[in-house]
Amino acid sequence: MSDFIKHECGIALIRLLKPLDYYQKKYGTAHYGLNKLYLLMEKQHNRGQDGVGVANIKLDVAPGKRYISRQRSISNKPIQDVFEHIYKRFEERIGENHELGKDPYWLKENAPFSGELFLGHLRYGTYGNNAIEACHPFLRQNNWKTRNLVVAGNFNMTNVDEQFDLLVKLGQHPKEKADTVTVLEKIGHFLDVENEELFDKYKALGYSNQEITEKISENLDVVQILKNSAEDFDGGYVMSGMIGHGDALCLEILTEFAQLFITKMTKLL
Amino acid sequence: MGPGNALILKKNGTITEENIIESTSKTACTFERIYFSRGSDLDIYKERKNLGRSLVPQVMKAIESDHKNAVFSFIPNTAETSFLGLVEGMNTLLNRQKSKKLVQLGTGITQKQIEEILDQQIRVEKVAIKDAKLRTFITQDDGRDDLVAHVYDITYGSIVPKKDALVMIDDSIVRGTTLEKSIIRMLDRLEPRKIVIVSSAPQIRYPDCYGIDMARMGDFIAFRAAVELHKERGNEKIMKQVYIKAKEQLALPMDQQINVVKEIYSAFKMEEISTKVAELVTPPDCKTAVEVIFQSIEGLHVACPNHSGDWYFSGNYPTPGGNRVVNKSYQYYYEGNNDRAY
Repeated sequence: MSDFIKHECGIALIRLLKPLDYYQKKYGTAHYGLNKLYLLMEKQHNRGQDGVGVANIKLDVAPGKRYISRQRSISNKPIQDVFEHIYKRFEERIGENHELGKDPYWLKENAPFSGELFLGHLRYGTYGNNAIEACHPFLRQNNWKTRNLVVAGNFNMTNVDEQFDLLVKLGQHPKEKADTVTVLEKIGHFLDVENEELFDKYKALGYSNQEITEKISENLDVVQILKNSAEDFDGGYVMSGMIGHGDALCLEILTEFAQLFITKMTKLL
Repeated sequence: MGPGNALILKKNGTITEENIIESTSKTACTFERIYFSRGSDLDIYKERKNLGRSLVPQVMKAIESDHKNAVFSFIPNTAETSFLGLVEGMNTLLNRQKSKKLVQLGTGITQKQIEEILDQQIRVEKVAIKDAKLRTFITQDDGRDDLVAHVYDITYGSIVPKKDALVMIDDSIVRGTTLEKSIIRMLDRLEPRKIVIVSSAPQIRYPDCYGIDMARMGDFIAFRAAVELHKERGNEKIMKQVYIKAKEQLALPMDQQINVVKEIYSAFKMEEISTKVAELVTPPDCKTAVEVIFQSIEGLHVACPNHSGDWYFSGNYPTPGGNRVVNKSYQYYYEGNNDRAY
């Protein structure tokens, strides 16, 4: 390719299906998922050059503990920058006690990026500038686990204006008219709706609020949320997301599966 | 994944593929096959080779079937695979010629004659070299045009001056800027008899609002060529006619719009646009004749049978939003507005 054609974004989604302990014993590291994420992102280095972001979710963390980590960079070497930062944070937490770095239970309890679900994104920006705020994954935070949404996408929407108007009609106040924000908020809206419907359903059945949280986590209909959200998206995209309690999704339209890597258990699909 | 499908990974570890958007067909992007995706994938590797192989008849015509006086090479790095396919195709053709000659000479053939026939080979050289580091730097630099000329270097002495035609394959030609500002100037210094630039992709004629970020009509060398051809033929009025139609289309709801920009191209054969592209990318002081060959859309689909998305080549957008984007992109072009069309 001799023309200076810019590249598409790249996405990597990893779900570890075994406890961290399994990877520590089998591969000698509890950072198996993170290391694989690094590898998958380096392999897509030809795609995004404007910025990089990674996010991680820990499953089944007790209240009071953080469970979502995110790191983004728009430096000249963003992949390197992001992962150096993460590993530096490990070192800071571990300090002089190097054995802690081999203890998956301690890591999951105390260190960021020690969960089971990973999402990485390499950005080539079509909208907006190259500010760190424009880097995926985007995060929609809430004190209810099942309402937390982390989204990263490779997409161009042709009808952002209509999607934006839709959010305004819902009574929302989108902070900008960018396709990523619009997509995140639209999925987020239907995630909220699904949460509310499930809450009402189980409340009526007499469950306690804490029990309802578990019920929502088990019964969240991700397919319906996506159907409602993507019904009138017009564009080409791979969209990947993680929900706070541990569900994840990946939807592709008009694009190519080759750009999407999923790690299932310990084997690369 | 199937068309309109999503992978759902539940917290409990189950992974399912579910249909989200009803879709009659999967029109996945062919540009992924031509350029973006990693060439180490077996299907992509084969398809890129097929793209090169399918260009053999056009290349033979361009070199007037004189393979003895033609050197084949490629623009690094992503065109390397289609180059292998092109060379394989040329070798197959040459082998047919060899066997025909051998049969013609019959039983009285001498060892020397056999050797002379078998020694004929498709001549392959590493002509262009890319400085990858320089490219990485300048892609982040707005003033990169000044540096473009230095991204590539050539191997001097790799061809016989004035005698050899030089066939260079690239995977696509979008704007043609690097061809004009760097590659053709550089190849001209080797003094070939003729430069043949071969694109393994068809002419990129329309914006891509889905994958590759190509938003502006005026950027495409194929579009500029069509505009020039209209001017030459005194048919400039079509530009305004299409502008009026584009505005009319844009007033309609998105799903009722059609791509009116196709009318800009419909008056010309692919080869006419290719010839004009060659003129546009030839620097004024270039001493060598330049020919540009593009893949046909039919050739693309034969090479990449499982991916039908070709909107940037054909103007056939897979969603209504695409037609709106192309009409808007043309409107902006005509109005001299440099804004993005999506």
